[in-house]
Amino acid sequence: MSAIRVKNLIYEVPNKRILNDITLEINQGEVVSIMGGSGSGKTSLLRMMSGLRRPTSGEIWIDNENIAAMDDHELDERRLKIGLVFQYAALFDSLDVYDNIVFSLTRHNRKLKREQLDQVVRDRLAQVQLEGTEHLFPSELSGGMQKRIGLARALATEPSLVFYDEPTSGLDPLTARAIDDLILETRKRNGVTSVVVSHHIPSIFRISDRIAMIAEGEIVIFDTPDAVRKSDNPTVREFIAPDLEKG
Amino acid sequence: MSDQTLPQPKTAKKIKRTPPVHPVESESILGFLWDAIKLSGETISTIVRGKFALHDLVVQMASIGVDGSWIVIAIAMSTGAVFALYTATFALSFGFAEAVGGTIAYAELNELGPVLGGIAFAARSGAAIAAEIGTMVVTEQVDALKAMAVPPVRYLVAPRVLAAVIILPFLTVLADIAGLFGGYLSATASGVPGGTYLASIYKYARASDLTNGLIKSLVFAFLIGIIACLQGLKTKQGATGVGRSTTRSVVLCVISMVIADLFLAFILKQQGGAR
Repeated sequence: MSAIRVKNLIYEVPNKRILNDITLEINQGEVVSIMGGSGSGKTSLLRMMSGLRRPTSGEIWIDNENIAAMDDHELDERRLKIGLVFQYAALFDSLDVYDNIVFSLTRHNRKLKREQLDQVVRDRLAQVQLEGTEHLFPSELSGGMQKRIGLARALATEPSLVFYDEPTSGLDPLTARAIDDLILETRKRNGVTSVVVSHHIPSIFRISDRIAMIAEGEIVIFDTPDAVRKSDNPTVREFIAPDLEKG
Repeated sequence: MSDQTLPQPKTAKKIKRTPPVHPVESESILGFLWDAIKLSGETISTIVRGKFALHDLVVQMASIGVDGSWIVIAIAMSTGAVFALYTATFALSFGFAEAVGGTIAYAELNELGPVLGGIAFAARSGAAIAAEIGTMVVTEQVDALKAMAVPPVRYLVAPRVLAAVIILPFLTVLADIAGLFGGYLSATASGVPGGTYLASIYKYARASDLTNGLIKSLVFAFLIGIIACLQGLKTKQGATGVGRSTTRSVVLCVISMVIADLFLAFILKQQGGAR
């Protein structure tokens, strides 16, 4: 069963077409990575699938509803089912870890009791292995810790779909691997559909059920990691070969 | 990647669009003005419908009120003292020392208090608002709000604008008192008897002078709140953009206040009639 269906999606900015006729379908529970070079349009696609940006034309179906045709109010109701982990975590720096994690919950459900919120924070921090950091502020956390707290915040509302924007960029190999494990663990534990935008080839091949590659605004391949590895498409080979040869 | 299982679209190709509230493309004065009008409408609607958290309002009031009061007092007191120094010197030369207190009060309550209070508020709190929201934009915190279905107007704009509208009239009264006190010190040092100064205020100052100033401060507060928030939301290009937004915010706040003051002065003068 499909979690996301993108059909004939076009995105243009003045004098430039960023995405050209993108069509893809992502199944429930899948981990799908979208890779491509800088400026290829992969982050634009993620922002449109998560409802943060509107396409010029085309359709984005999530739970059999076309979010591209919704107004802001309708979209806000759907956004609660979607988690988004930002490239630089985007934690609210005036709030501590506790308030960051419960932010969405308290804004949308004022009847939640303190004990319930405490439980959510405990669970999510345990999931990202950062127990005891409730009262730290984002400025007191390392980059890797911030990304993990960003994931904890995204999971607080128990979304069925989580988007990750460059989750391992700027991290050392060990921390990047820990984030990969966390993405897989989250899928296993919460059963969420995960869409990861990245150009970190080792991570992509490690965590993905399927991989889509975007070049010049078009999908050049969308297949399993094995099929992508064996692809003789020159654009794909040029992009993945240096990393695969390394290891 | 087959699309055979795709359901038939409810709205083929045609995308329902709501105009963006904060289009970052419009850089012209007219574009900025249009964005400010739209943001004002949305902010007033949010405040009237009570669609914001009281906690956010209290936090903002504490932040911009308590922190901003000392600079307002310092500016108002020194300006009042300087104004009284010149007025007292002039008045004593021509023998009408009994008019000094009334003159200071008339100028302080109608003009100096609200305008200087507003400028100090724009420079201190307006700049802080623009910088804070601008930083949130470039670090994707505003996108995070949207992703969590929390409209930035509810969380960022409405509490700040309402806090400004509540706090600035109080700061204006503080500025009035500080200005009159500074004037008292300066006038008495220049040779005007203290009793004469106070009696002159009592004789010539009217309640309408105070209310005129407070009406001005309400308008200034709304302008400062909206301009600072909008400038923050329109921030682009990292740290440089935050700096640019902060500077533009202060400049636009002061210019818009001065223009509004000109119109308000004529309107309120006509309403009040001759003294």
